[in-house]
This record gives sequence, C-alpha cells and structure tokens, in this order.
Amino acid sequence: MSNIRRALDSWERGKERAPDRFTRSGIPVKALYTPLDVGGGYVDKLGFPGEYPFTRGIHGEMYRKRLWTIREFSGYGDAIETNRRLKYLLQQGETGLSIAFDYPTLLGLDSDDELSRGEFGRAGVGISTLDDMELMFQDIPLGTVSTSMTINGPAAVIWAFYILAAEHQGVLPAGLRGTIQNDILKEYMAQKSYIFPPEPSLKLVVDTIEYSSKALPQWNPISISGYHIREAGATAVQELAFTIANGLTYVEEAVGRGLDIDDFAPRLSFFFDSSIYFFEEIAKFRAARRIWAREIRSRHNPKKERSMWMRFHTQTSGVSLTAQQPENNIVRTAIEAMAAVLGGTQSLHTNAMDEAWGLPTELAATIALRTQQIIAEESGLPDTVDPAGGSYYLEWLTDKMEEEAYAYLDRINAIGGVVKGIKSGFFQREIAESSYKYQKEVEENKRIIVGVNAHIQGKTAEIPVLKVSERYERRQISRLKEYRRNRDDQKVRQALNHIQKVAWEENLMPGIMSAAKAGATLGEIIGTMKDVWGEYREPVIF
Amino acid sequence: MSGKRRIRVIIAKPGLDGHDRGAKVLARSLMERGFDVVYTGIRQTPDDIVRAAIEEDADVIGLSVLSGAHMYQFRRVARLMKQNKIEDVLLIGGGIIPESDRPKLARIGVSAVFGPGSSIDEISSFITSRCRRLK
Amino acid sequence: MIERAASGDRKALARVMTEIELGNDRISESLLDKLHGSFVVGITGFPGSGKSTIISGLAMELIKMGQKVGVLCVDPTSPLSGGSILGDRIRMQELSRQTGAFIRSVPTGGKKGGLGYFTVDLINALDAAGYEKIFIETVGAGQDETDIHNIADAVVMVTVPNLGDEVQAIKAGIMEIADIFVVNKADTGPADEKVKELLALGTAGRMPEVIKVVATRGEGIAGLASAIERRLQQSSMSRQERIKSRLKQLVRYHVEYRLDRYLASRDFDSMANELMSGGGIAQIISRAAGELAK
Repeated sequence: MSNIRRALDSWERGKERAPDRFTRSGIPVKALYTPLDVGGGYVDKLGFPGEYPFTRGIHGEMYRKRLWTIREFSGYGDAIETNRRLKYLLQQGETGLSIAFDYPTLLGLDSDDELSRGEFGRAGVGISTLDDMELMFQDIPLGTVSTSMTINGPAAVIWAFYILAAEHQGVLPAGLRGTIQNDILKEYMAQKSYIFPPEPSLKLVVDTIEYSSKALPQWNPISISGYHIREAGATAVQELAFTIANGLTYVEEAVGRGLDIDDFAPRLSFFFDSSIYFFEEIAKFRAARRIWAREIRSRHNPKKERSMWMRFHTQTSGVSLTAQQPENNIVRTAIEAMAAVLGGTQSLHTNAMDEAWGLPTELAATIALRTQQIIAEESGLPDTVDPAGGSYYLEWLTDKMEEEAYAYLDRINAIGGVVKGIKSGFFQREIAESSYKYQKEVEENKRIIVGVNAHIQGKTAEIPVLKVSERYERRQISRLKEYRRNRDDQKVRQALNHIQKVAWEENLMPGIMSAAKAGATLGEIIGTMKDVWGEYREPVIF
Repeated sequence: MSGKRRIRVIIAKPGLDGHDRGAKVLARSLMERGFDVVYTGIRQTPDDIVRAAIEEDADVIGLSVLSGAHMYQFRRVARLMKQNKIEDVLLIGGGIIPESDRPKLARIGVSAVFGPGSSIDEISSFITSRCRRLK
Repeated sequence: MIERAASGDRKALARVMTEIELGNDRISESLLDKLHGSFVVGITGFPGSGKSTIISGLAMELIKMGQKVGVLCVDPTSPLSGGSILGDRIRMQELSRQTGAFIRSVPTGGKKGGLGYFTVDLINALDAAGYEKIFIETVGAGQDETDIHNIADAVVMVTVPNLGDEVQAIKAGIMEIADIFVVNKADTGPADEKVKELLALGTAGRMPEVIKVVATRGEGIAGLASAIERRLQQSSMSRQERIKSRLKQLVRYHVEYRLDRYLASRDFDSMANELMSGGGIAQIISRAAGELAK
C-alpha cells in the first residue's frame, strides 16, 4: 500500500486539476480511484455471490445459470384488448407478464364512476370485476406464466380477482407465480395513488403478506419500490435509503403481527430505477443488497439465508427520456439497462423511446425488448458474475452509497419512523428539494441533457404514439352494467357488510375473495373499506 | 399609489394521476420568479379548477396531466371557462402529451403545451408575454 | 362591480378583491358604507397544525345551517422574489365546492404580523357581498402573529400534541394569544397532556378554553363551532362597533402599507406628495373618520 501511495503522490504532483465533479446524488467524484480508496475487508464487504452479504449477487452463478426475466409492461384499454396484447408479447419471447392499470383502477374506482371519465384505459388496463380479470387472461395458462401487477392501494382486491380467475382455469393458488406491487408507503412519498390513511393501508398490506405466506408460497406479495420515489425527483441515495426504510417497516409490521421472518421475508421483492448516471446506479444496486442483508440479519435473525436476499426488478428511467430527439432514448435505455444487469437485477423492464410522448407503439416496444436481448445474448455481460466488481471506483462508490443511505436511515429513525415522516411531509420535502435542485442544474446547464440543453436540433420529428380508442370505454361500461344486472345484489351486500365488520379485526383476504365471487365490483369493495377507514389527504409540501 | 398584485397562476392537476413532480417544480420556480402561484394539488375536477380560477381571479391556469386523459380534462376545463366567461384567462398545459394532440388542444383554447424537457424560463416568459393583465 | 358582487356574482366579487390588491383606494372606500358587520374568526397556529382542515370543517357546519362563509388564506410572500405559493385550497376541496363558500388566497406582500396589507379591505369585500362569517387563516409563523387579534372577533389557536415550543413561546400571556385553543390531531400523541399544559397557563378566573379535535375525521369540530359561536355571542360589541373597530385597523394597514413601500424605495417626495395632495391615504383617513363619527 505504501508503494502505491508513493506512486500516486508522484502521479498527482504537478497535475493541473480540472473542476470538481459530482454524481447525480451530489457525491464528489475524484479524477482517479486506486486500491487506496477501497481498503480491505473483501470477505466482509463483498464476499462471494450467493453468500452473505450478497454484494456481488444473490445467486452463485447469476446469469450463467439463469438470465434475468425480461418483463415489459402492457395493458391499455379494456380487458379484451389487453388479452390480445398479452398473447402477442408471449409469442414474441417475453418470459413474464407485466400489467399496468389505469388510474380509476389504481384508485379503486369502477370504470363507470363519475371520476373515471376520460381516464379509462389510458395509462393501463381498466379492471372492475372478477369477470374483467378472467377475460384479460383468457387462454393464457396462469399455472405456467408469472404475472407482475402494478397495483397498490387496491392490490388486495385485484389480487383476489386474479386468484379466483386462476381457480376458474383450474389452477390452485399454491401454483401461482407473480408479484403484486402492493407498496403503499411509496405512494404517500411519491406516486400519490393512495386511498386510505397509512395505518389501515399497512394493515391491508400485512394481510396480503400473511395470506400469501400461507396459501401462495410462490407469490411475491409486495414489490418494495424505489422506482417511483426516484422518478418523483429523488436522488439515487434517497431512492436507496427510503426504499430500505419502507421495506424494514413492512417487515416490522409483519413480525408484529406474529409472522415468522422466514415464512415471508424470502418472498419480499424490490423494484428499483436505473437511470443514466451509470456507475452510481450499479453501486446503488450492490449497496442495496448489502444493507438489506445486514439489516435483516441484525434485526430479525433469520434462519433461512433466503430471508436476507434482496431480489429486485429494475425499470429504466422514464424521467430520463426526452421528448426532443426521441430516438436518443433508445441509447439512454440501453445504458440504463446495462447498469441494471451489472447491478445484478432479477428482472428488467426497458422503456420504449416514445414514452415521453405517450403509450408505446408496438415498434417502439419491440426495440425496447430487443435492447434486452442484445445485452443478454450478444454483449457477453452475463458470462461472469458481477463483472464490474473490483473496479476501484465502483467499490468506493458502493461504500459511499451505503454510508449516505445509513445517514438517512438514522434521520428517519430520529423522526420516529416512516409513517411519522410521511405524515409530517419529511419524505415529500426531501424529494421535492432534490427535484427542484436538479431542474435548476439543468436550467443553468450544469447538467447536460442531449437534445434539451445541448446539441439541440430545431424541430422534433413527429413520432407516432398509440391511440387508445374510446370504443374500449363504451364496451367496458356496457359490460360492467350488464355484470351488475346479472348478480345477486343480496349476496353482494352481505359480503360487503362482512368486510365492513371485520376490516380492522381479521385478515381481509378471505372476505374480499367472497365479495369478489359474489359479484362485488372493485369500487364497491374499496368503497366499503373507505367507509371504515376514511380517505387520506396529504400534507402540502414544496 | 398602486398595489403590487402579481400575476396569479393556478397550477392544478386535473384527473386521477398523482405525478406531481413537474407541477411542483413549476409552482416553486414561478414563485421564485415573482409570480403568485395558487397550487391546488392532485385529483382536481375541472369544476374545482375553474371555480378556483374565478375566486382567485387568476390570470393563468396551468394544467398538468400525465395519465393520457388530457383531451378529456382540457376540453372540460375549456368548456367551463367559456360557460363562466373567463376565456380571457391564459390556459396552458404540460405533461405527457403527444404532438398530434397539440393542434386539437390549440383549437379548444390551450395557448401552449409544455412537455418534458421544457425550461422554466420558456414557460415563465410565455406567461409574461401573453398574460392579459399586462396587455 | 360592488353591487354585482353583493348580488352573488362570484366573478364580480373576485374582481373587487383584485382591484383592492391593485391598490384601488376608491374601491376600498366605496365598500365602507355597504358593510353588514360580519363576524371575523381568526385561525392561527404553526404550519402543519391543520388550520385549513379545521376551517374547512367549521365552514361546512355553518353552510349546513344556511350561512354564507368567506375564507381568506394568508401565505407568506418570498422576500427575495416577491412571489408566493398559495397552497391552502388543497385542504378545502369539499368546502370549495359549496355554493355558500368563497375562498381567496392572500399573499402577505411582505407585511409582518401574519396577515397581508389588504386583509381588512378583503374582509370588507366579503362582508359587503353578504358573507356572514369570515375565517382568516394566518401565515402561522409563530409568536409575532399579532395582527389577527385586532381584526378578528374570535381567535382560535391550533396546536398539536408532541409540539412543545409554542406553549413555551406563549406563556407570557396565554389569554392574549387566543380565545380558544385547539389540540388538533388529538389521536397522534399525548393530547390530554397538551390540554393540561395549556390549562396550566391560565390564571384563576381567566381559564383558556381548550378543545380536542381530530380535524381529518371531523371529530370535535361541532364542539369547536359552538364554542366559537358562544364566544361571538358573548362579545359586548354591537354590529356598528365591530365595523368601526375594523375601520381603525383599515386606516392603520393603509398607513403601514405606504410607510413600508415608501421607506423601502426611499421615495419620501412621493410620500409627502400623497399626504399633501389630500388624495390616496389622506382620503381614506378622512373617509374613515367620517364613518367613525357616525
């Protein structure tokens, strides 16, 4: 080491220094990193893939044995249209389904609710009933595919629809594989698709965790998501810290309910953003695995190694895409996807180039899919485990991300935990501050975005976007009305009354499933819970 | 002597999507450029927004929509503005809005659409140059 | 315009208020003989204590009883840019949809004391337009919020459990701070301790009224509403006296506004001119004197 120091001193001597540089999280970056920046402790800090603390990956051979799951979003219009698209994607070689829902569904409103007008099927598929769910998966064998559903506030209800739809196909719950996002804490922090106040929302989340640990052992009942926190303007450090804080909160709630850590922790999954500042992203993923393993081990002392695994899905950054020169987005997405793969992700969604304009067209979505296939099959990145590991810079940055994340975890602890922080607006303020600062840096040309504040070309070529026909909305509403006419209202009322009665006392999953079976709609079930729990209004934070 | 009423801008998110990053950054940036910004937050109906614009006697209404429901929401707001005879209030929009919808929005009275990558300076100078009270 | 505002034209009332904010003294003056003497209720307390939600709840109660309610939400003006973010309407969504309600955001314009320079004129505008109860939400910056006491017929101070500082800050004279104290978010912490803490600051014969509330769930709002009503009815002031007392404040605010502006710009010549010419402020003072003499 002293040799290196001497050599470094002489290398540095007499060099003119360029101005300081900073990562997107504001971490200062030096001109050069050497073994001096990394220090020792290889076994403690990095270890071997598949072994604690999992910095280099959760599996021993990583992608050599099994590639990440390629998962592209789909869902728009009504169930019938989405069913068509899902079948197309399966034919194209996708290995997992990923369903996006429209805003009425995300907020637990029926498609024909007054507030749903103009929103049906726009940002995803609109689902109001068990019947809709069955139609969406018609002729898709739910026993063999794995399905990820981006749904939070009403996740328990949508999940109940799914379980019942599978049952109808003859597939038992225990055979189902997939994920519901179901991460309500980040909704209060960032995406704002919350329905109830935090306490009952958490109760409902734990209901689903408990239910899956008993009846759906292959299901991920939650995907603890940094993605939306990041997209709302947080830095990589904030994304990392807030996501882990949220994850630890769910674990505490579940343990508080009396669940054994080893019965549910292996099924917790995560969801991160991969943005354009390459090395910081890779460092974030590696630090995340290490912190999670360490915290679960020290706080909950699991017996199963898997309980300490941080398995995560990654999506490339939507916010990093520009409306200007949209073809450039293909390149951005490729870089971001590589960071996710170098970070050891378990599944990946690559954005389409036209998403700053609207929903992706089939061509744009196909290029996004091909981007992953090129990385997987041409680039050679999967051939060895953690190929970027050992880079002096990357290891230093991984340590640094960890250190900064812990500083946040301490602050969150000091203000009384995540729920208190949400109610006082702590997280919202931190995120707003970062996004404001970033915008200012862009405006002042301190951050370059090609096509936006540098290398600007006059007019952007018009790119086609997917049009969502209003025909779907009409079709859906008439089907929904028909559905309500053909059910036994008496039975629906009884089932809803039961939910109302046991909302706080019992696990709600069985009650929700009975209501869904009786023909209750999403809006009716969520509405019943609103009667008991009320609706949340957020503090006003800038 | 005259008072110092500033240009008053309503920043609102009609509809159900909660992506308020852009709206908040814009609100704060306009405040720092000397505007009075009435921020009404997420999940606003067109009626809420127009009523706020009337009571606040706003000079500008800025709507942010990222859910794809912009045509419906903007049309409702524009229609209510007409009904209440406040068409002279400057109506602008932002969010994820396809190029092909922009001419349609212009026809119903949306003076400008600022998509991802728009600069705050661009927006604020547009407002200052087009605001009715300064004419 | 004022007549149209009085006949229920929302847009006209909004324009009247804009004219006031633009410094149109004629409008301020012509409101003076159209006042009904509405009650003014001030709601003060730290940011985040839930003032907007409480006002919304109180106003909804009154609207159910058929009253018309005006709300002025004061937010600070940035001393650097002169702009402001007015974000209180967010908390009043249900109220803002009621026919009997009118909500207006008010930037302070740099005035100290928790209210804006034109707050009295804006109250008058609402009063003249037939709004019987007028709520004012102050900036909420803390101890130097003294203005509201001279303007409001009842002042409610909102606190929350787990926030100790403001009680320390007000121990000098609790009864001067507010007529009624609210411990909001009473479900989130040691609310009873907070109540005791506040009561302990009273003196024999002068005990503060303290009410526990969970504004987001509407709990305790009806009780608070009747406490405010009692307070307003107990007041010994007649309708005329209320108007007159507000007039004195109006003069004070207009003088203060000019002083602050002229001192900031160091334009003493214009100040002297305005006084000597008998226009502007001189006009308002003499007009107010006339009203006060009635």
